[in-house]
Amino acid sequence: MATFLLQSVVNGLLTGALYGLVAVGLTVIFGVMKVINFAHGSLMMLAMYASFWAYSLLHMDPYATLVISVPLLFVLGALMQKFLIAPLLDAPEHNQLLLTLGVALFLENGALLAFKADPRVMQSAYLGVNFYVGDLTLKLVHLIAFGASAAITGLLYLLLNRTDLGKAIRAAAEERTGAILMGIDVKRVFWISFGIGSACVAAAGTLIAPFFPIDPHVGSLFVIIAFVVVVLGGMGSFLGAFAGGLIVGVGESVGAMFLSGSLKQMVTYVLFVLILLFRPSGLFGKRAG
Amino acid sequence: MLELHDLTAGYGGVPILRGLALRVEAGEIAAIVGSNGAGKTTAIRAISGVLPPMGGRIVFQGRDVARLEPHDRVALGIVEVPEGRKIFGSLTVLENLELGSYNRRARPRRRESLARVLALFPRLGERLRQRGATLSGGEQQMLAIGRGLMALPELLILDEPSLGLAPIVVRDIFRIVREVNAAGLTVLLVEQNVQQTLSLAHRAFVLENGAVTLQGTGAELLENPHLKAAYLGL
Repeated sequence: MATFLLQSVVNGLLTGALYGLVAVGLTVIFGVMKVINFAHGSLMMLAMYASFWAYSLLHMDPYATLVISVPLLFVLGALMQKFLIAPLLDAPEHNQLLLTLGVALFLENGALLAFKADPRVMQSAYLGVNFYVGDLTLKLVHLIAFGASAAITGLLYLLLNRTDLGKAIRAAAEERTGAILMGIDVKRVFWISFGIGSACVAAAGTLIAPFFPIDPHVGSLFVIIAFVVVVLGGMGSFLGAFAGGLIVGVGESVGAMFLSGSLKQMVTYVLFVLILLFRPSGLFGKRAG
Repeated sequence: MLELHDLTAGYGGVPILRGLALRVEAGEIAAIVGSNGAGKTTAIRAISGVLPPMGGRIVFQGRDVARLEPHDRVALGIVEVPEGRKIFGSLTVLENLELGSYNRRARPRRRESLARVLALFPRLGERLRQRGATLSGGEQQMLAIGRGLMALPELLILDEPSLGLAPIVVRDIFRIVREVNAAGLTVLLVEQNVQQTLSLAHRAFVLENGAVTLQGTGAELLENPHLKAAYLGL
């Protein structure tokens, strides 16, 4: 029993890092532009399909497809911000929300039309490889997902804190006029940030594709989890997003031990409510007022 | 250095400035004074580019910049220190200053600029690793000015630097303005604090209802009876 629990926790941590990566990407977008990006999950879905097609048609290594999905989604995200969202930047927030929701619906149904509803599964050689530590089984695909997610999150952290561009992004997020007066091209910062957020979610999609069935609606599943993680961790908090991802991952995994099927998601939502009850701004969020 | 010709600007289609005209000569401290709502901040925003003008020309060093984006104007040397400071509270003092030299002209000279700014504002040097939001009002104003100086301005615009600050701090700030001007920097100062500003400025413009109603040297205006009655309560 104890081993079983420990195994669940370990699995949860490994996949939680992926949720963390998705949430970190969303945090960059929300933190900088205050845009609630409902299309975040659909972009991940597109990345998963991109990886799948690169793998099955071009016979690329599943993880090598990162070089396709990440730049592709960076560009898509940047274009989306520049031409669809930027014109609405000073409009009421619900307008932006509706726009991103519209994009999500468009992408989801476009994928349905183009790729059909049957789930795609990557049957790569990585799938069956396991490592054994004591009584625990560690799947290679999980380990790679964890390692790469943590590495990408770390790189993003360095970008935001050690480079001029990163500081400009943080400055523009906090005080737009002040940033403009420093000579920062804030419009450019915005589409770059959106591109970065989309690139993160693309990486997450590519990393999860080897062990998760891909269908046009997979985006909706992840976008909800992403928002829960972001709010749970504290909106705008980078660290909170990653920590939140790990917490949700473990919660889901341990929940699956006791609850069947999709009921395990209830653990996530119960955790969500409990955390907000005691810390309304999220775990690492700034207190309001 | 800077000439405003027939400048019209406002918000939501309503003009606040109507055909404003003024000149700032290189190397001087010029001041715009006036009461609330006269259009001082509107004029500043039009010059720095935050507010697109409705009409007229803004000629900087011989070039009309009225259609340029704000970040391009900073690259040319027009640097505004905004009303209310608008520093980056969650970034450290050092990061705020570094971002001051973000523009491509100032970036290569960041280290020497930083040394000069810290020599002018030693208190900032003591607080380099502190987050901007933890500074006092006066320190934030110093940070805002320091940040502006990091951008290597040709024209430094200060929008109401004395707002909300204790008199002793205001005196320090005005002293520093005099110092940087003595070193060759052209300064455009916008203030409600008429007495001290006119003592500091070489030339001043009184703005009322979006137009210049009085201009002259600081000393001349201090003696002007209309000004003394309207703004100094004398």
